[in-house]
Amino acid sequence: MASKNLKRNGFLLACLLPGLILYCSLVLVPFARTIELSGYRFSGVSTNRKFVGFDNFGKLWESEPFWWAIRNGVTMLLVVGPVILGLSMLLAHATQGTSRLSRLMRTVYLFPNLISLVAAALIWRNIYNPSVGLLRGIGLTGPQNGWLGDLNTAFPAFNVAFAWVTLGFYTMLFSAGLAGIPAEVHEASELEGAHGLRKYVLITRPLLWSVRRVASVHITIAALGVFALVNVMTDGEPSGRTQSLLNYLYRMMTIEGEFGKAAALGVVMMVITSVTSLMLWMLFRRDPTARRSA
Amino acid sequence: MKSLISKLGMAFFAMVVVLPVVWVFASSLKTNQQIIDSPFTNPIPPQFENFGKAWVAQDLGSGFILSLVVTLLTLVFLIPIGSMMAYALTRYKFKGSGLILAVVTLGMLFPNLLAAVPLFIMMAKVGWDDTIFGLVLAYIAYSIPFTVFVLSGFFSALPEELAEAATIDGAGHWGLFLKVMMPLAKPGIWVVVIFNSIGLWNEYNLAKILLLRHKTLPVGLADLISQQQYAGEWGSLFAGAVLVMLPILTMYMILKDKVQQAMLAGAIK
Repeated sequence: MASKNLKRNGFLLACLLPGLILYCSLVLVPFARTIELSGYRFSGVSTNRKFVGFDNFGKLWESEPFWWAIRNGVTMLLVVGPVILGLSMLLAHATQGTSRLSRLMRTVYLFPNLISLVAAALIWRNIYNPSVGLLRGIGLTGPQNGWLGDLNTAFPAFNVAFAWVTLGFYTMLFSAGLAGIPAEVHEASELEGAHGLRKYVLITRPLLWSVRRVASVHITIAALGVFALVNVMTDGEPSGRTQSLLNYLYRMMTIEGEFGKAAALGVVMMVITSVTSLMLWMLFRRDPTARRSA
Repeated sequence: MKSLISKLGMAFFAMVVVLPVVWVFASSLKTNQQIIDSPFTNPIPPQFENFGKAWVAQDLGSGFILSLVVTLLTLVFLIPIGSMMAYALTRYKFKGSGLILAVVTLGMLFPNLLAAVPLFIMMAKVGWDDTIFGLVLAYIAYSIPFTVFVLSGFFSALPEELAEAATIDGAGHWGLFLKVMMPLAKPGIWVVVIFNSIGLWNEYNLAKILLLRHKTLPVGLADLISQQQYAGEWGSLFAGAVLVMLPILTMYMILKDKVQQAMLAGAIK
């Protein structure tokens, strides 16, 4: 019996150790150390660290790019995200069915999501480029400094690119959800006289509850985690108008050499991500299709 | 009427999705002058030398090879490591197995750049910064959450009777895992291989932080983009974009259903 247990434990250890060592040392420990390092002022690998308490957070609070990044993040969460999810829901409905166009759509809509974000950034940078761009080809040269160079149009223009990248993924997600609703449910609701928007609100939307929850959490993470797209498309310019939290973190780590401030921003983002995800989870906690208690 | 609107909407959407991609492919075969003249010039005669320029002169060839090596190397270690973890955590009940699974999958929630500062310092201290070895280790570690999350779903859905039957037939722990369970979890392996190969081929954040001299294809292309404002070598820039997009889009056209399934699996349990 003892040797049997020994064998079992040996097997489990062999299975778990390689992954756990890598995960703990390269993911868990660095995340925890981000919290520790946010209390120091230092630059690079040097051991010359000065403990400054919450000073880094104070400096963040006073920096203008930080507030642009926060503002942009909140806008993407509250406005851009819901718009993308709404559009995807519409497109998911439109691309159901077996017509050739629908099938073609269900193939191509994932393209932007599959290609490298760097390629997507290159595409959109050049779509907006006033001298070689695609939009200039149809006469839309935009403001004097180009769509991405103007203080007012840069952030909306960036979000069009963000929507282009993400839309197909959520459309596919909702399509899968719609396809999962049994045909009898559709037939029954049509027989009862529920069509169009009414059918969507009363029948489809509640049934897609779990998919909508997944999509909301997913787009929250995507919106708060924007990096490559900003980094390559605009690097936060002009004047911080397209700044994202992660691009600002990267900037502090590299150009400004403020590692402690970068870590502090990492901590702020951990808190924001946790709180937002938790709130979404609570919001979607009750399954509307579950039997209502008396 | 309603179906006409939805058809028009779909056609518009298809155009918005496809046109930019087609435009990049077309531009990659044009001369600089054709690109500057108008986005709608024809790539005739096709300038295949743009790809040669991108590969050699712009040094994206070495990035292409580096990305390929790093992606394959990561997958070779990640898949066994991730499968063993997922299997042990779902098919064996022991104290803390649920907690470990939760902590591991929690890693999917936070962007990897939040750990960038300590990760960079740690790698530099042991001398693994700017090495392919260090990057692959980081790639494996940061791919574990998704891989374990997906595979644990597949493993926990396998019927218990099969395991019992194999054990009665004399299979040990390893025999049961490798000869019975792994083959049954093959659809799950497909999902994690496809999802991770797309993610790793396109990976930007960690490669940007951890590598200095070496550049993966996405990082090399990004650097080229920022230099491009001054250089004006448009044709080879678009050729570079094609180099990074083509392998993924080709895989998608061949394995369309499997890729869609892989993309969905990350989201839906």
